[in-house]
Amino acid sequence: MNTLGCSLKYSGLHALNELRIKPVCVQSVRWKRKPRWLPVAKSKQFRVPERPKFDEGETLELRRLYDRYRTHLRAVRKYLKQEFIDLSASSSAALEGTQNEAEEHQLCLKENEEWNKQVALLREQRLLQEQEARRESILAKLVAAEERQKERMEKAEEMVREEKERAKFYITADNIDKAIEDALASPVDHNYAIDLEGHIYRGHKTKPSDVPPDELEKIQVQG
Amino acid sequence: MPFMKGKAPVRRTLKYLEAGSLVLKERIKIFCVNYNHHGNHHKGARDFVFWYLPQIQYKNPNVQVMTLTNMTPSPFITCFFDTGERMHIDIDSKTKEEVQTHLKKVICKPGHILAAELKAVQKKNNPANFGFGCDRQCICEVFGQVPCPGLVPLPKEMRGKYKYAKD
Repeated sequence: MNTLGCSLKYSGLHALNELRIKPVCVQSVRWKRKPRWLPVAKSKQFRVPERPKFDEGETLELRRLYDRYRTHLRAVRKYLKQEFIDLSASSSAALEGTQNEAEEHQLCLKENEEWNKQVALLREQRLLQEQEARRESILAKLVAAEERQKERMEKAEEMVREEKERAKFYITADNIDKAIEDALASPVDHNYAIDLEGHIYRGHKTKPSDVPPDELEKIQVQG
Repeated sequence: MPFMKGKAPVRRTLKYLEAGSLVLKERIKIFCVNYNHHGNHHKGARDFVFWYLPQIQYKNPNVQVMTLTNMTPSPFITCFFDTGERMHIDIDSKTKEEVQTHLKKVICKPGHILAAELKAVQKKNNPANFGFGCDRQCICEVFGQVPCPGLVPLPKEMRGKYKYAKD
């Protein structure tokens, strides 16, 4: 592979780097171009370059073909440009679209307002119902509390009445003497026995055979 | 299945997210839902947030979607536009389906615009294209086409210097 005295990168042969190929035969170039400060060579001093001769018919035909080709290309390019402009953000269609958008936005806002109003109505109804339910429950609770209070008062009065009744039989400083006299006058004898039928045999040393069967008394069960 | 954790992991599947139908307008920048955790009239809002919010965020990755909970007595949605305007949508005692249909009418892109966008995307993503910005840089990368002349030299019949050489 010929290199021109410089690295592969500068000569555009990057592919060789990728392929990792090492060229075996490398040739250098001895003459690139005549420097501008060198004078014209003696053999070339009076050289008159030959003007190229062009065939008229050929040039006309070529020009016709080129014109045709370039016209077509220009047409295609302009068409694509116009398409790009149409689709851009500042085109008239886009601006109309934005106007439409603004109108649609207003319509959407209005629709949303109506929806909000309806929902507000529903919410008011619901809140009213909840309020009614709360009022009723509170009333019921108040009534129940009153009833409980009444019951408590009644119970208290019952207890007071009972105590008053029993207070008649209390022994106070007034009737203590009378109470002592009554107590002394009526001794209670707890020395008695009971048989299975409930007959009482009074006395400390009474035997069952001592009491005749006619005079047996049955024990009084209280309450 | 330990992989799909959570209450309704189907919400995280690609199929479910792609099936979302709420594509918001470009003007909307923030979508905020206010609702409570308790209360019957908040049930619709809770369900909407549970089922449809992932789809909304997936379809609108550049919109800030947020939820604020237990702040107000009734639920509502607030949309913030790039002009600074706000739109409040009351959703007290509404089911999630009703909310979705209303949002579709009010703040989503209309059907014909979505269809046009879909068409444009298909045109741009034509898999047959190659070059800058496409999957394939050059036609030589395709199996069955002429290989890159930088790697494999072209046969003489295809090379200009042999075709037009005057000998």
